[in-house]
Amino acid sequence: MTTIRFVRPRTAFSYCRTAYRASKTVSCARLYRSYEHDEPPPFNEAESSILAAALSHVPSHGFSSTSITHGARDAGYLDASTNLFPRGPFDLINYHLVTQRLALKDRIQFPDQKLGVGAKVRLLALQRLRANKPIISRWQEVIYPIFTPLTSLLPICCVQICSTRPKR
Amino acid sequence: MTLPPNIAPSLRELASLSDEIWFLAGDTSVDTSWYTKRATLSAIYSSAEIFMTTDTSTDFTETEHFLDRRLEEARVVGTTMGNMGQWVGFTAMGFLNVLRSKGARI
Repeated sequence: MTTIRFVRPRTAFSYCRTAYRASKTVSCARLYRSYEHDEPPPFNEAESSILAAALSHVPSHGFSSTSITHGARDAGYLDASTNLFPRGPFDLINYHLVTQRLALKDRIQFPDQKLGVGAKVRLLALQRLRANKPIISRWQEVIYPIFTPLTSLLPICCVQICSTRPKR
Repeated sequence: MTLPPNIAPSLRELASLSDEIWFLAGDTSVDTSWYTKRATLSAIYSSAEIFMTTDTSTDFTETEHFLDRRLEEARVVGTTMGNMGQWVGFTAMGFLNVLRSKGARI
């Protein structure tokens, strides 16, 4: 009896062949995910140790170069190691996003098959949201500035709508 | 994250997260719903994340309810669009058959 393995397709949009290949995140040499071969780790040892230590400083210093500098000191590297991260604070944000996404697989398991797909999606999304808990106090600074560049493009009424907090 | 050179990688990460969640939940669709499911989940997740930044309830229960409401809305809209599509299809075929019965060569 043959078992059919479902090969996960990546998105239809391939960013691999653009300038984003220069980014140090997940190597996108292939456009699918394999069951047999694991993906290479997205960050090398130095980067992951510095950024992991920097995440512990985020509640006090936010997603900034200061956190990365403190993280480099904690990990035992020189302060100049921040040159490893040309995108600065965004590398720290990206590290948080990537590690939390990859940790989903290990954190949540579904041993019994009684839950439907919708219920599983809900649990996984909740788990990922809860993983933001340590840094949620600083996440607002990361997300909300998206409204600032748009004020020059949108009419004033849309700005008013966008600037009110979600009620529900 | 919202500086112009960082927007595309952020959106790519959001798409990857949405894909990961659907895969771990056991989605094996191979049609266009693969894309629509991930797009809707990306929108729902990002709105829940933004809500979570303003949530002060214990253990983020308000965020949980917010997520439940958004998922329920997505489910209802999905079934509504599916039913509407089915109705439109049946009506169009019926109209076509009426024209054929009148002698139109279609």
